Amino acid sequence: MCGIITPMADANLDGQTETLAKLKDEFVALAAHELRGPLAVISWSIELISKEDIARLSPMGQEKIKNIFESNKQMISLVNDLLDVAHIDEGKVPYEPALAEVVSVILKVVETEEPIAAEKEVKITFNPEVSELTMMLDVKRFTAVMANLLENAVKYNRPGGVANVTCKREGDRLLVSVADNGIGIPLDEQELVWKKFNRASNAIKTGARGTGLGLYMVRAYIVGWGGKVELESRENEGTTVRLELPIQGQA
Amino acid sequence: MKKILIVEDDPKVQQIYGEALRASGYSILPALKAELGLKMVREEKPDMVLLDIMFPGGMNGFDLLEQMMRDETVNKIPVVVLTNLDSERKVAMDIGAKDYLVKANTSIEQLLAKVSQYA
Repeated sequence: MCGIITPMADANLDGQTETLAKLKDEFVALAAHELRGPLAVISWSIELISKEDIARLSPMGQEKIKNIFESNKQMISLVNDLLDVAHIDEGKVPYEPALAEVVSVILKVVETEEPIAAEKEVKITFNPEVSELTMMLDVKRFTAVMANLLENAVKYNRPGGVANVTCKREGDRLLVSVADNGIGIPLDEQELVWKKFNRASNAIKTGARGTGLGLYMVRAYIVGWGGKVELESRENEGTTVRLELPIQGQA
Repeated sequence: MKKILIVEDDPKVQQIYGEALRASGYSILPALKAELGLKMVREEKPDMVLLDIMFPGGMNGFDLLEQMMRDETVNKIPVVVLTNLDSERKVAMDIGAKDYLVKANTSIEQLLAKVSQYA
């Protein structure tokens, strides 16, 4: 490239980049919304096939129905993530709070992840330091945050590994941690894991599936809700993620 | 038998809601356009309305909801919005919807539970 870039041309370029970024976000939101319609129809149609009809299918046929249903759920969840990312990129972090008891919310995530962990021979332990704590919480998204961290702790681990979840109250802050003794993250990649669509090189090498959206969303949500996230990791030794959220809405 | 008005432009979705609700003992009034939906609300006085937001051309779901809420003869009829937009919850609730569900995140079972709650 030759020539002189005047400040004016620079500003134009910036403007174009901004417009393009905005168009891209709008496209993602629109595409995701348009995808939801047919995905809902698939999901409902499967739900409406009667149990008797399914029972009449061969075991292979039944397996295929199950595969369609599970893949459909995965796509719906991916579209939900893309829409949330589009909102985050617009500077609007989704937040739908309601009063909820946080220890039971975390326990539910732990119980959901346990079968997957058992398959990988990873043990999940949950050691809350409070018995109950009611606060304003976006339960759906906080559940997604916890599921994300716990899935990472299990997925990037080895047989015999451990994923330990803690939660406690410190003044007006909720502190939660998820620690594993898995493959860890190489030091020079630790800042990059927060970037959208980015995955650590050793994570990709495991062959485990991932979109690279998980930690990006975790940080966007937690910071957007007035909290903090920290990550501490050593390659081959493990990773600990610590979350801090302000406790609001207590009597 | 309780009457449920379904205002929804996608015939496939109409068919699915219709099948599920009829199987649970409701009678169904389908409207593929919001204008027709508003007319049917006034004429049929259903026990409940399931309302989509986006319609190609003409009146949208918010317009219908606003007109319903201004009309004393029908503004007590519960309306549940079923859409795939996820950023319009506040708008819908402020106008007067009883509930706001994202289609792709709602199972038929959950939908039936909402209908039995409001109808």
